[in-house]
Amino acid sequence: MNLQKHFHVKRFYTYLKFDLRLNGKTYLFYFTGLIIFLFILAFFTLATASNRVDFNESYYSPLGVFLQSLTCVLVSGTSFPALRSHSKSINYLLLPASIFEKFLVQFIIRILVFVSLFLPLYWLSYKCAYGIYDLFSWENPLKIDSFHLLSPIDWHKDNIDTLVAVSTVIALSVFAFTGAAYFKKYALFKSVFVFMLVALGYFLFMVCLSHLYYYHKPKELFDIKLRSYNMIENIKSSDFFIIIQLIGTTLFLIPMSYFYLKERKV
Amino acid sequence: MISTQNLTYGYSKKELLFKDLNFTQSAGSIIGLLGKNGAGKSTLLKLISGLLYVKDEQIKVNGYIPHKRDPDFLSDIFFVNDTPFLPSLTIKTYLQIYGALYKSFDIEKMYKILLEFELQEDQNLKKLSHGQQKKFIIAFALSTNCKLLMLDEPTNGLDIPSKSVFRKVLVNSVEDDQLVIISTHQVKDVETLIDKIIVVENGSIVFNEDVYRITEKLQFKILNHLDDISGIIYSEKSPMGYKVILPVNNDEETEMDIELMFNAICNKTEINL
Repeated sequence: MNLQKHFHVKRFYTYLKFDLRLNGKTYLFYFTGLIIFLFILAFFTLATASNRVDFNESYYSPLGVFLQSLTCVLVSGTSFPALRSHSKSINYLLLPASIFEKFLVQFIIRILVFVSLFLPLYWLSYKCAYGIYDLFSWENPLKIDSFHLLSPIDWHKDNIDTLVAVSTVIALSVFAFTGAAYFKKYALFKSVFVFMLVALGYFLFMVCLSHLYYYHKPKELFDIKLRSYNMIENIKSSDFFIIIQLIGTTLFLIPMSYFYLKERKV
Repeated sequence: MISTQNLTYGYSKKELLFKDLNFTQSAGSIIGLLGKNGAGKSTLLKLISGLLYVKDEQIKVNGYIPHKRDPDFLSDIFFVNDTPFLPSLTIKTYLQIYGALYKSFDIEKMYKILLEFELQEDQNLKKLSHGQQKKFIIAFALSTNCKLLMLDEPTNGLDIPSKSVFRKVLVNSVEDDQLVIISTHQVKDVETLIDKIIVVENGSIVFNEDVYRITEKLQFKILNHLDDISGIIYSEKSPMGYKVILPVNNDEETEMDIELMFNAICNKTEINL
């Protein structure tokens, strides 16, 4: 098997450079937009907060994970922008690079780089917002605890919770990424819609299982009953089950998105 | 360079566009792929370039199976579609960015063609007219020196002087190891360009001949009347009298009237060369 057909370092570097030169301004524009958005959001949160709110890591971090999930879905769901129109698709699919290299460039920029860059951006914008808030003598002085760069994924008591948070963000990103490779028009909206259907289906499946295995226990119609126990030290079976599902979904969807790109017709 | 074996393709399983299509073509020609609207010209080009899928190895181009989109295959083909995508860049920037992807891209050739097409490097591609955009992408396609160039309706949107420049540029730019396929329904625009005609109709190749052979065997004349003329293969009324296709006699060669030839083929006239 000739692997150079799929990946060649020089060709990949040329293609990556091509993508960055072609879309560099767009990426920069969106990054700037994101920083401004995060700054305004952080400033608004601080400016409208009551002094009873305790701005410690448990306030800052969940918001960070939520925003990261949201923005990662937005960024991944708009991957492969060249596949959205007929003439752009022709241009993109016939560019002299392998499908794997085209896939890899999008995966690196949209998922790996963005997931990694989000936390420093979030940290920076929150610190800036707090700095500016603190600069003026507000009637509502706030006490904000110190937090570090990785607080959003490091605030939990157990490492397992951190793993759940990171796996969720990556799985959501990869789901939106696969949708972007599969759908031609309105990929982001369709991906979100499909995700909602899958989530609903999963919920109903779990409800069915709960009724099946815990039929003797009285409960509401849509109750989900989970039996959780400590597997190894502090690792709960339910957490372990969620992580396996998230990692499994991610590992299943990555090759699937590659396959969709490979099979793309115009 | 291109070979198809029993090529069968349809947008739906019930309605096949091509059924058992066979043809081979080597480099060194400019082919006119002619046909009425909806005959399957663009689909054939998309199949050859790998934008559409067929099962197995029904098409091979330069030894590659197009739909596998091998990067070496892609670096040696260029497809200009009717409405090409051009980003909002100046010509100079576009050449720097896109030129790097094609190993045989010739920047000097590009600037020569741009000069012929009266395009400047500081012009923004998005702000060009449709015709200018077409001229630019044709210039770029020629400068990549790809072995296979596919031009889908290249003269659409070009004004009359530009069509003439296009013909001149194409003839001067194409090398012997290249194959150019021009798909068009505006047959007059490519009359003096092509050295082979392929006519597609209802998903079949109904005519596939060299222009040299056509002019060797057939005469194209305008007559005032058809009386006493024997052996007419095809005729049609024109403002000047009658345009006719006749078998060659007395070794008198005439220039091919491609429109007349095309109409004769479309009217299912039996032409034996």
